[in-house]
Amino acid sequence: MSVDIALALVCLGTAVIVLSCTGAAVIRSGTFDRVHFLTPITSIGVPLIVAGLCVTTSTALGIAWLAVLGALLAATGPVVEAAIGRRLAQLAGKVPPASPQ
Amino acid sequence: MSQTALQIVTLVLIVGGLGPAALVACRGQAAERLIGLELVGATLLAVMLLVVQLSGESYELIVPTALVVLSFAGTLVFTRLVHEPDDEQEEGDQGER
Repeated sequence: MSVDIALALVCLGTAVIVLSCTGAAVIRSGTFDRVHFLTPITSIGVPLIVAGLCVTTSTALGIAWLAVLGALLAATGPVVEAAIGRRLAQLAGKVPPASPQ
Repeated sequence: MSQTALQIVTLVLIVGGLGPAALVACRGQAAERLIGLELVGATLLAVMLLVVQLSGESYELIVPTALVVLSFAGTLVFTRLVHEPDDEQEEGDQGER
């Protein structure tokens, strides 16, 4: 039973990642829309895979390590997306450049 | 978890995830390729997690741990340093004067 749950979680996470990467590759409406395909991977896809792997991991240290990895990526992903979005806006002239240039 | 099922999922992730991500990382201006860089980093992390699970050696998790930290810092550095070609041309002209 737990093996099925783990496999379902991993497959779900993989599907989210594949769909996000494919969407980012095929979208034509602009760079700013492409940026939004980053966060589903870091906040949904990889944490789902991590959850699936945690279900099958037997050691507490392994589960903790996987959980820290997932939390790290979930925390840093939106930060990077925001930084890239801001840089794109600066280059497009929509946001004033940073003051220490 | 079945080894075969995990291998199939890993293969799907490599072909369906890393492939389009690498394509995004190769097209467009430097700022647009940043998006591909982050896509590749995040997808590669997921692939590494599955490969570690396939190998069964938990100490190999140090590799994706290092990737998370370094890709975060590296992408932010690239974001700070990326310039459009027009900016580079103007700076080159000013240097020649």
